[in-house]
Amino acid sequence: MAQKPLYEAQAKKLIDEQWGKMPGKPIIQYVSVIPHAPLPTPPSFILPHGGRCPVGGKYVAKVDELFGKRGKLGYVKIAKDFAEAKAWIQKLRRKEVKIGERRGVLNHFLIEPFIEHKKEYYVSCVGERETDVIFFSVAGGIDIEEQGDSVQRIKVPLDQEPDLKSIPKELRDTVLGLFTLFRKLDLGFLEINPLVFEDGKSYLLDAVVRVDTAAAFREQRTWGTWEIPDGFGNAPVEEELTIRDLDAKTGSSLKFVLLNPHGRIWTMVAGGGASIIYADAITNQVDAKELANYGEWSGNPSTDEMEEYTKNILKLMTSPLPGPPPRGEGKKWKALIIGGGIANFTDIAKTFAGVIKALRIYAKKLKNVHIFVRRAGPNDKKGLTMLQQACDEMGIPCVTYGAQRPMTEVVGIAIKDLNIKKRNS
Amino acid sequence: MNTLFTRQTTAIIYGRKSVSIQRMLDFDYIAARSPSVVAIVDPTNGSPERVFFGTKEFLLPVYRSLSEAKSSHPNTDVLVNFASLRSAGAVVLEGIDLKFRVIATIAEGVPERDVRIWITKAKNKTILIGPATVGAVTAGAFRIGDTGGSNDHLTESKLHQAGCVGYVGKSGGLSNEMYRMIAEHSSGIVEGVAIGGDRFPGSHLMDHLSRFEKNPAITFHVVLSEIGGREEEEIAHALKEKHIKKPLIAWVSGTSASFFPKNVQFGHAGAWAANLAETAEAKNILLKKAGALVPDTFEELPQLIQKTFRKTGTSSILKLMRKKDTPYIPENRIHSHLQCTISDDRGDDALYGKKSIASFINNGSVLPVLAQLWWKTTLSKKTLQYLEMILCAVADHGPAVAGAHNAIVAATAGKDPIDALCSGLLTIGPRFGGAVDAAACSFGDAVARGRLPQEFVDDMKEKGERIPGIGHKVKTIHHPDTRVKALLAYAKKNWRQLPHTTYALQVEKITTSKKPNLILNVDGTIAVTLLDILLPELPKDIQKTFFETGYLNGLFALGRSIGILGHVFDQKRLNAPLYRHPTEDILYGEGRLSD
Repeated sequence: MAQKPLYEAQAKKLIDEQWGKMPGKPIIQYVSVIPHAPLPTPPSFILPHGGRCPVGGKYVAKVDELFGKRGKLGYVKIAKDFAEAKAWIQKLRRKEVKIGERRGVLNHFLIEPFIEHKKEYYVSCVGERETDVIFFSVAGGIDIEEQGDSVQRIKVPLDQEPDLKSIPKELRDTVLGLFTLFRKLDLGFLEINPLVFEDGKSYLLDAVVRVDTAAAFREQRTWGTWEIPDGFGNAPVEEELTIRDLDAKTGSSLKFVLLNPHGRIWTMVAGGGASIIYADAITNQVDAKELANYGEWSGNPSTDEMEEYTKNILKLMTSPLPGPPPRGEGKKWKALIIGGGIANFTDIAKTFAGVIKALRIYAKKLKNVHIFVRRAGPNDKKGLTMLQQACDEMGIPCVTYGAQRPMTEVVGIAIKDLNIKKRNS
Repeated sequence: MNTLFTRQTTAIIYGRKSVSIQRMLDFDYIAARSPSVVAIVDPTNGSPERVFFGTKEFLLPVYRSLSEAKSSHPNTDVLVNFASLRSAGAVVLEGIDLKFRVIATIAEGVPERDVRIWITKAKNKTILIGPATVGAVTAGAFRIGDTGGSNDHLTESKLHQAGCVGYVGKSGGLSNEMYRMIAEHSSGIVEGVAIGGDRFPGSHLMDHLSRFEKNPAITFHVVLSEIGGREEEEIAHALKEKHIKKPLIAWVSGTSASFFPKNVQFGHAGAWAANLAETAEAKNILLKKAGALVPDTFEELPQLIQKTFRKTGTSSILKLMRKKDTPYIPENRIHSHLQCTISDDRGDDALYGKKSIASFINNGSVLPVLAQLWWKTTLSKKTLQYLEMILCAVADHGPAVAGAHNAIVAATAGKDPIDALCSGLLTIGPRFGGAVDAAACSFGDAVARGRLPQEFVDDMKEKGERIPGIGHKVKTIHHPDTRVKALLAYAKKNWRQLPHTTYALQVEKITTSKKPNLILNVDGTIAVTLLDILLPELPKDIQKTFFETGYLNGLFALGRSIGILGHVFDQKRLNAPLYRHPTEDILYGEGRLSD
């Protein structure tokens, strides 16, 4: 539950579909290229000054994945005709690329008409604590970040309509329409850059939208049933999807993100806050590649839910990996850190009962796994003793600590135990 | 107020969260204060909640609506909102209107726009805590819900006595860990708040730091924040402008985010950076530059707290560090399964209510006993007299009616008198003798809603329902029921105002003009006269449940038992043979002519 970005194609579709009868609707023209489908043929696009695309018009082809600075990275192409746009996309389609630290496959593309224009406007809507804010600039485009002074900041109290006097008359209806959608559709962020006004009409050329996923339940008729994309490079594995499904069905919280299956430190940490502290502690001490996953469970999940959750993590932990076998003596051991603070209401014995059930199922495969536990809260003595005894029985090396030891001390113990090289800080 | 809560703070809890409510009361007991929870709101069930204070069991009142709870406890100014994420918003907005001073919302996953609307509505009126949090605690004074966890951890974290630290953080789950850490390296917290992990929490870090700064009992602040949002800019500003002068220890978690090979949404909805300024690194640097004490890692926090405590501490440290003896609460308290509020047989002198049975015996009359055991009250003489008249009126109505007939058949079958009585009583229901309460309900409702008698008759006709208490098999307006006449005569003679009775008689006028047997019958007469005579004399809480408890049908059953037993004894004395219904009196088959 948080704000999540949509694909550009989804953002445009949302604006296009939900505009309704409001005046000032910008022209929104695109076809989207989705994975495993043939390239679509674009319809006849309208151009300013009575032109038509494809007759003699140029096209814009764009990668539609969730990363920015596409123009600067070479992922936007102005093509002289459709054939060239198609060829460009065919060349990039299914290609694996690295954007910053993120590696991912290019699957989504857009094809749009090239709209000749002189001026680019910038519009965005952001929710701040006590007001909504409209940002507007007559100097939009790819260098908007450098336009500090030219960007107007129009604050709109939550129970009032915006005052758009300072915005060029011909764009006022369009900006008001965008702002209305921003409010009505539970969006956390909406950005149009550029918005173009040419020959008496406005054209929406690029859109970024972040939706508040907590509101999905009441946006069922708009975006609530859409598949909200993962970030770029986040192609989830089966176990992640299973846990996500589990999470969606429980009133508690069960989160799991695989970061690096070759990592030797696996975690299932209780609590939204504590799980961040544990991830910090690990990446602070060793190379971040050693951290196999981010995981979080909280809100007193049932024994069965904990068993399912743990089983999926153990399954991934014990799966054979593609690629070269790990080198070096220390590499053969893996650590599972079951961490957390002092719970307010999560029952430690009840949740650990589920962990133990899952461990018993995977016991035979866990011969190279050490378990490090730090957890406290209601019923903690019973839960910790149960887990320790179960691991002893199964012959899995395990240490269990309660509230008497600092919360992240087990991270250091695990790193030492696995003999992982410390990071030079 | 320098603290969110005091030892006098009381709260209304929305949602019947038994375990959390018990934890709040356990905290109160350990902190040696009076119970802080005064009422629960449960829209689906109004029965009181059984709770313990220490080892003593007591009942907490439960209301169906928040407004009712607040008007019954007007001095209570804290609302702990356990409503689900979809209804939490309505509860908060109503709570603001009802002028609660503090509203803590526990639900996770409330849409951001909703919370932002709460924030603007609550401005300068209500302090919001949450959503997506466990709450807050003022040490030794008051805890919200599960804050501080189970009883053993509560005392280990010194939450039952005030220390010297003001703590505010985002994470609810981590707050308990931090209270423990602070307790182990200083005298503990004065107050702790977990504002919640959402992007727009109802109150923010600085709101609470401002209060801490004004509180002389707090010598330094501890802040634990997270990646995402820019609230730390306000703290940095306050430090630079010297609005915060006390030492402030701060840590922003989430430094790992930049190392991840892909987007990771942490478990908290607000824990993501929209831009560089929202990253943990940037915010730690910002705070450090502004003069906050920022460690290099989370792990160095304890030492920093200890160092700051030693520096700011006074000679009273030792006194503060001393552990107070805390009351013991056994782990397994078991709620009793039964409750009794009308009599007590445990003493030397058994009691009806608070009066000895002997005194009732000496008084020598049965109706005062009924008033005590049924309604926990005493009644005026003329009302007792009227009730007795009703018992006389309903005691028997010949052998042919359902109750008597059934009892007679059972008696002739050789059943003992109690079995035979039961078989007779079991016929009492909607068609026989059991319409008294229904009549009271429908006439009571019509009068309360101000329906004219004609409108009431039309309403019932439209619904296709008979009016309970109207109509008789044999008696008509021309041959009135003498029982009704006698009862009405006494009522009219002794009471000046009989609004329900007058109303029912107006209804009777309308119904009898259509059909002469649609008269106000015995059931109806008892119902409307008792609404006028008995109901006003009953205690308030008994009045509230008067229509749903079934007292009036009970009165009929009690009176009729006399007659039924009479018929049973009669048959026994006559040594009557087993009753068999004559076959010629039975229509066999489907009733078609061709059969």
